[in-house]
Amino acid sequence: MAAGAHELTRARVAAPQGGRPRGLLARVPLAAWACALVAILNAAAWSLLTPPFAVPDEQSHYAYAEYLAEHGRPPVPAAEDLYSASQTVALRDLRFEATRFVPANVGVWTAFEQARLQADLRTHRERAGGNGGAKAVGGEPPLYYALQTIPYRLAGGTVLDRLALMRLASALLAGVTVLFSFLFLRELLPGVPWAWTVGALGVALQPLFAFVSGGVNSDALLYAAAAALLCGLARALRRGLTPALAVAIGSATAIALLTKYNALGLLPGVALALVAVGLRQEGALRARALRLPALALAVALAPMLLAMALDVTLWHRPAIGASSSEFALRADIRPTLLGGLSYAWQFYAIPLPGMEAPLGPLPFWEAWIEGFVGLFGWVETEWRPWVYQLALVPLAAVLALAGRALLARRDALRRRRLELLVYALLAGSFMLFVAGASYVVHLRTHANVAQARYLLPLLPLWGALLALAARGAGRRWAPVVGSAIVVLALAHDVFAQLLVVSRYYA
Amino acid sequence: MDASAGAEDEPQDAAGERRRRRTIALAIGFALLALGVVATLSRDAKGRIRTNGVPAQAVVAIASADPGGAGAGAVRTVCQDRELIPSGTGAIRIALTGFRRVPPRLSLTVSEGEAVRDAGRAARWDADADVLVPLAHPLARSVVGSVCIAALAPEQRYWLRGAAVGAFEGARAGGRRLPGRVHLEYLAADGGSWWSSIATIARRMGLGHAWSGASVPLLIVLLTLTSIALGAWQLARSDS
Repeated sequence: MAAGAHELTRARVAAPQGGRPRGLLARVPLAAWACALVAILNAAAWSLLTPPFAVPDEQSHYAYAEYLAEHGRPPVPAAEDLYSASQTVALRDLRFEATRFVPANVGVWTAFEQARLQADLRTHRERAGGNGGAKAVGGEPPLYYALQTIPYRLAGGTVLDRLALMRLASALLAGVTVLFSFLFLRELLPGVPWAWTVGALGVALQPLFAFVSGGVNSDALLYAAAAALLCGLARALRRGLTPALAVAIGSATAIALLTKYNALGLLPGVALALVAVGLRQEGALRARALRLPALALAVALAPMLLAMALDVTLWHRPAIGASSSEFALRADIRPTLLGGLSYAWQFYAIPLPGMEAPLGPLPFWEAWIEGFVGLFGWVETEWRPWVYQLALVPLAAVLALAGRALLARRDALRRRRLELLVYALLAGSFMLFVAGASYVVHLRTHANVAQARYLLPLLPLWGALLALAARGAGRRWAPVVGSAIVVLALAHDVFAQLLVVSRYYA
Repeated sequence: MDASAGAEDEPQDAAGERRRRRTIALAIGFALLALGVVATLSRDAKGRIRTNGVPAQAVVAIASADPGGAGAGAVRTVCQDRELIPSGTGAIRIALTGFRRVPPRLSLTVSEGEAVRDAGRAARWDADADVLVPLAHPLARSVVGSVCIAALAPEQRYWLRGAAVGAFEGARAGGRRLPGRVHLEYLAADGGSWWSSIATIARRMGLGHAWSGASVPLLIVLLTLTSIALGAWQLARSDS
């Protein structure tokens, strides 16, 4: 029992130790690198398996990176997407418009079609004529796309050559995500190395994560930044905040904010976490307690403010791109607080009696359960309904075992309640933000845009659930249950790949 | 025997025991996973030989045995010319929507010039909400000809899905050209298991990429197996 309590009680309130980033990386265990490599290999397999532009919005993300590489500046948001001649020809020959959303339609299936595709790609090489996915993603921050200009330029060749290398670059980010997920678990559950591996492999093999990270999609960098952020916060909560760690947390937040506007949803949780750590460290409500949190937030916000200044002055873009996209508020759109709260509730739960149900009777089932278990392609590649129903069994088992682990250590849990509150606030504020953005889109278009991939920045918390579930089986059965969890994750991934094969190639 | 030595061995024995249990659990888990994959691949495959390349994007015709009663624009028979029906085709899947509570009553004929090559019979709803019409005999050779779909039940209506095409390429109905063609899929006679289709599927997986060929599916398999092996190795060697 003492050993079990030990693993949850190592949070320190006294002087912080060992928070330097260099110290952090130097002590990364081999297991973390191994789990990261699993993620990279898995995402790379998905990058080859998934047909070109079959990852949601991939054609727009590719167009943004192409525009940035060709023009040296981000695109200006516009009312429609226009693609370069080379990309237009690729989309046409790949039957992009026909195959997305419609499972019955297929892409290139014959040698003739392949020869025509390659001939057209060699003939139509123009790259600068598009507007960079101006409608779909043009307003987003440029960091992910700036990184993607590297493989874009290195690949040369045709659209497909560039896309293939850009996808591999995204796959590398999957490794970064899992690496930081492992380190997050190491801070969260110290003294249980084997559980870190269980949780990290559970993240690495999550098929939706691998599918998105195997494509050109800015979510891949957002996942990595969010994992690094969680890792930093966990370290601060356990060992205290140092100037170097504050800079690291701020940097991870800055990367997230410069990747996708969804990251704004993480900001309230991060700010509260930093203030809480600072106050706990100081032991009193003093201005000095806010010194390091302020440093972290300054590091987090400065690059975004600089990017906004460049948007307005040099790049002639809106300061916040979301203001000119489908998330923008207009005079004819009247969001209300009550309407937003009702929508957010139904976004994640079920309508209560008396509520208007704009999302249908059971929105969370299709968006979150089915989405997490597996909706691939353009959210049209799905299993038979019984698969999703069957998936509830292991999901419920994981939740039950994780709950058992927490109950068995509730004394330690009480001592670490600040930490739990931080994670709950972080997740809650992010989920609320995603729901709020979807509410605005719903008011504009009456469409429900919920997709499980929007919540995958919280994937390290899923890894934590898996690690806890392994522990919750008890000392005797933990090795067996942990192995079962990893094998189940593997099976999930393998069968998801077979599903995608059957959709596109059979 | 020294008691202190026995006490030091105990934690190592316990760790070794846990590692052994992990390894056994992994081995059993992988065996079950392999069995599951083999069982899945042993099931009937879709057996799609090819499609006619027309995407199923919109309704292009409404078919009914009582066109007058089915509304404006409804037709009894829809024929599509210049269809390439590959050899080995044993069934044709038609993209359409209808009332699924009753069996579909449709007839399908494949003709080459004036000769009727085959007549499809016993149409049935497919799992993917389309209609599957088995042919009387699998085609022994490829046919470039016409596929005609006729509605047989006056009380039923079928919304045939396809895509808009050029002025002279549309399907024929009631002596006129429709603005679109219907999405058709040509299925192998016996379906067969996924194992029997593996070469075809692997070939298709090798298309539509920067480079084509068998190396694409082989690389996918290699990457997946390597990630599995690495994950299992790491888990087996982890300290408890």
